[in-house]
Amino acid sequence: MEKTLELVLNNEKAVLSKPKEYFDGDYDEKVFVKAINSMKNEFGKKYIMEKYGEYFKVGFPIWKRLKVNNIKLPEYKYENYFESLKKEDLEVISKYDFEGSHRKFILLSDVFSSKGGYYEINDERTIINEYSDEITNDFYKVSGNLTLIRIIMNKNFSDNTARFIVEDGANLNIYNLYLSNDNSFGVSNLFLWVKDNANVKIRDFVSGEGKFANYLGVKKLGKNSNVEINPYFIGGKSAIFDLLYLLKFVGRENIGKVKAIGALSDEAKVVFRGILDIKRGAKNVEASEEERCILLSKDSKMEAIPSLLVDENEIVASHAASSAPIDEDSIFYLMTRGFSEEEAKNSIINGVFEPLILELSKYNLEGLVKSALIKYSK
Amino acid sequence: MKKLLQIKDLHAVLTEDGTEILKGVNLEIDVNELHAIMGPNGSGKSTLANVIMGNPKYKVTKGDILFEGESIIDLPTNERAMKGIFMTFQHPFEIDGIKFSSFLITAFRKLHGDDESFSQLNSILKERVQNLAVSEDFLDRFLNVGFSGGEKKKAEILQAYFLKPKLLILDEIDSGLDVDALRIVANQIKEIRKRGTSVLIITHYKRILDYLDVDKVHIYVDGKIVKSGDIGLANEVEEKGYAIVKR
Repeated sequence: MEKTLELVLNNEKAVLSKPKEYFDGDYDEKVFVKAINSMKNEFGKKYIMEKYGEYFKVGFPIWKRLKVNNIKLPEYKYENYFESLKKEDLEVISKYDFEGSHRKFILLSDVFSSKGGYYEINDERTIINEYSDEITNDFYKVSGNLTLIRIIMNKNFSDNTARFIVEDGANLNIYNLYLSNDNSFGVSNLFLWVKDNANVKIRDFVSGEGKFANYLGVKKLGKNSNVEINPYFIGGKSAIFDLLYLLKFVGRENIGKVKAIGALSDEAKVVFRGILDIKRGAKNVEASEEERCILLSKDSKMEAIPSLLVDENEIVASHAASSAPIDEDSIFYLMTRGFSEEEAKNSIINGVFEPLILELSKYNLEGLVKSALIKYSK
Repeated sequence: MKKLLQIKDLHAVLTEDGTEILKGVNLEIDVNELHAIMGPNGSGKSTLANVIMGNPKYKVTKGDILFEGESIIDLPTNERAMKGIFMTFQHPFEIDGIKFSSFLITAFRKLHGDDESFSQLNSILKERVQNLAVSEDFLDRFLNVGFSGGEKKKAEILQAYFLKPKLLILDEIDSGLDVDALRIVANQIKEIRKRGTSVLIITHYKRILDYLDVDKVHIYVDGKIVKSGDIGLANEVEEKGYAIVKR
């Protein structure tokens, strides 16, 4: 299983602290029996039975940074989870597992998902998945070119997990569009295992007023692959976005970049954790992470927690973070061209999201970003 | 007849800490005149340009700025721009996500209304950009983002031409330009002047003035104009330095 942090030096391993856990509000055995009975596919059944063995031993985390200490799970429902899973698919998915933001949420989606499938992509394909207050779990094995758009609308609770194997020479584009409501709590966990000469582009858009834990892990196993991650965020009221990006470099000559940018108003907060983990032997790697937050109110804030874990000399790695109100010089510059102060500020904030808007307009989805901008950029 | 710009005993301080930067500037510029301000580093030349444009970093403590006979001292920057004052920046700011051509057309419409269609304005831009020796995608890039120093200055002068100001303030437009780029920028200034635009050029060096038809040269030291004259004054500065004026 892919751990998020592995602090090992000369056979000595650091003990990492874990959050306290609780079981109140968890699904009981009756719900599990319902899940087993709902699953008609024998291999799916086998998968969730195996995962349940671990599930009931792990509690939900008390997350101080997100101010989450209780959970209201939705009523269990089954729609189409792993309904056409084959024996060989089960063999593949059983090999790939990860810790995520917290193991409980991975296992929750493994066992109690309402939707989810195993996809093998050998051709060129665009998939758009929309989720609303759901527990889902997907597995993608990409050999061709896949554009995946995940739209997650969260009013109460959602837990969405996805795993990806990106095969040699494959191209993968992912758009994660997350829209949260006040008082909502959502968790998203993605992990990618990337092989040789692959190209991966990921755009995350996190917006709204709720609490959201986003975890994206990438393990670069092969060589000459390129992973580019651009998280965007815009939030207001008492939103808390806990965003974790992990790039684990095992193979040689890989490039991995995380460049996050966003804006916060009211009392919104973003915790940005970027982990660049470069293993011994991962030579000629280029790794960078950068996060920038425009603070639109005096009470909004960004907390940046970078971690560079480097066990190889022949690499280039960098990190930069900044959070500040809108640059006054830029406002003045636009005002000298006839823009009012308000128009100048809006143009600067909208400009931050413009590259994403342009990309999403190909799929007629730019409105999701534009409406969030209207709501939260004041 | 009213002068285009009249600056009367202008004093200004840094808003942040009250440090006085402008210490009694007097200047008058008439329609279609070109005035040059020369002065040593740190003398407050750029501050003068910023105060004329109404940069909130500076606060006027005494004196007045009249444009076409009316005081503009209480107007916000965008309203000064709408009256026809335009300033190019020594270090233009990079603004992500705003396409240069869209920005120019939006600014044009704010300043001059929307009588001219998008395609008319776009074709003017495409034609003008031919004269600047820049890459084909110049207008399609985000505002100043990734532009070289020379490209930024060319972008500034393109804005100055396109937005048709009455008064053009050039704050060290020549700094960082190679010989070819300097000639291109100077030619654009000459083109702009043909429309009757007045120019206030702030510079350290005489070399750009050699391309232009200069009406007056002012030597600016320690927050005020200490000496004025014709182009001969610039020649004298070039030869002897700013020691020609007493501090």
